[in-house]
Amino acid sequence: MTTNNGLRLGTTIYSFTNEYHSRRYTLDQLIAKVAELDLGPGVELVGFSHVRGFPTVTDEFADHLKMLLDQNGLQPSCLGLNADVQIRRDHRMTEDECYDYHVAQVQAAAKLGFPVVRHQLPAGPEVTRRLVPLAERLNVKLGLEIHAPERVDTPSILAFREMYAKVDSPFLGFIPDFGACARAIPPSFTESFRKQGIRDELIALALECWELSGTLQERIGEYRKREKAAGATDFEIGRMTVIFSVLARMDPRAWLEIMPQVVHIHGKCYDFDENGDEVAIPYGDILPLFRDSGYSGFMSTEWEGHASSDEDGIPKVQAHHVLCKRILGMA
Amino acid sequence: MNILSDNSLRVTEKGFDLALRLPWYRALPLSTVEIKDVSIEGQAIDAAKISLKINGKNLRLDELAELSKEYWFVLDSAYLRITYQEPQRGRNYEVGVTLTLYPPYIPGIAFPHEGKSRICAS
Repeated sequence: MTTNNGLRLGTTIYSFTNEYHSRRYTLDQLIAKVAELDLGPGVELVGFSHVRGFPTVTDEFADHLKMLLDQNGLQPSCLGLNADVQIRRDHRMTEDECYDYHVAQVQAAAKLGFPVVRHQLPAGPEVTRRLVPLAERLNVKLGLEIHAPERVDTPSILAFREMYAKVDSPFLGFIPDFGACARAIPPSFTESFRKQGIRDELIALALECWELSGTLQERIGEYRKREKAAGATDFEIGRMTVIFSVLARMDPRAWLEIMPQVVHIHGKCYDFDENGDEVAIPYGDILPLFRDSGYSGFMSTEWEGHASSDEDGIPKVQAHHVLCKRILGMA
Repeated sequence: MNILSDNSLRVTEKGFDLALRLPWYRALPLSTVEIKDVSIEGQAIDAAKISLKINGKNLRLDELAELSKEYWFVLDSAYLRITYQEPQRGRNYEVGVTLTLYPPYIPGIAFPHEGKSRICAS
């Protein structure tokens, strides 16, 4: 139970991808786990992961989800949508196709009872703008996820901010992903690189390059140059490039620039140290910013280590909740 | 996430069914999935001898690129139906397949997966 009137905790079932994909737990069981381990009250799903036939939603599934959440004392916080612009490999979706693709997903979110959707950069500001009347009618907020390597001030995000200022709708918002304000690369990444046979010298070089300043292009360019000089193969360079696209070093205070438009949060996490602190992401600095600004939406704990590890997400989400409750002074 | 498992290979009337899992966290349209380099005991299997059984349909591997409305749900297995002479139950076979994903919301990026496994045919 939270005693906080502002920021409320929760979990994205995406965090349990290893449990789910392996078929060891059904969606129903994972939702029950969220309640059992007090990892709510917010529950986030990903449409294309958790809803068979998405964006088609059967009445049966919608009723069943509602019943599950109600029974477990949980609330639907956000539905993850996908901007599948390259659904045909040989050509990108037209703007109209992209718009239609999103209409179906927003309608699905409304049918499932989600007040917010996470949408993605490839949709672009124009498609997003066109979705506003639907969003208003269905009472579903459109949250653009700001995920590394983007920052609040990269050109792509500025284009959205400009459109938001013109349209001025409360249904246009942002979803910060805290991987965008990390201070280090988590050990689970370096461990994964080691397991793939990449030697320590090359890994250390990659971490050094991650800390460089400059645009993403400049940093990756420098990274490739230095790795090649150190004898890294194309395969090794390719494997480690991921660190540039999932984690970035923006100052957490930059979130204040867009705080009034934050509609949801992805509490990204990877590894925890012996004190229970997240090793790479400075939650002690980040959470007070949101609490003190009066943000009153949900934060979904998002453990994404399943991309490189077979570990279960449940203990990780638990650790994240313990940490956040401690920082926020919650019971 | 493994494409193949220890129970993936089943003997059929015409040869084998090889069960595949989608190595991704969400359903993907078949137009973003490429399957190639199917081999048994180191021998490449001709595409004409392979079909993909999924969602109640039997598809040729070269048909997949067009199927932007046919989704492989993340929890489902899809089956490569392989024509093969005299398959033997209880015998171990070296099986290989390359499955490449092109996630449609990350344009320009490919995720190749090599499935290579010694599986006992059931």
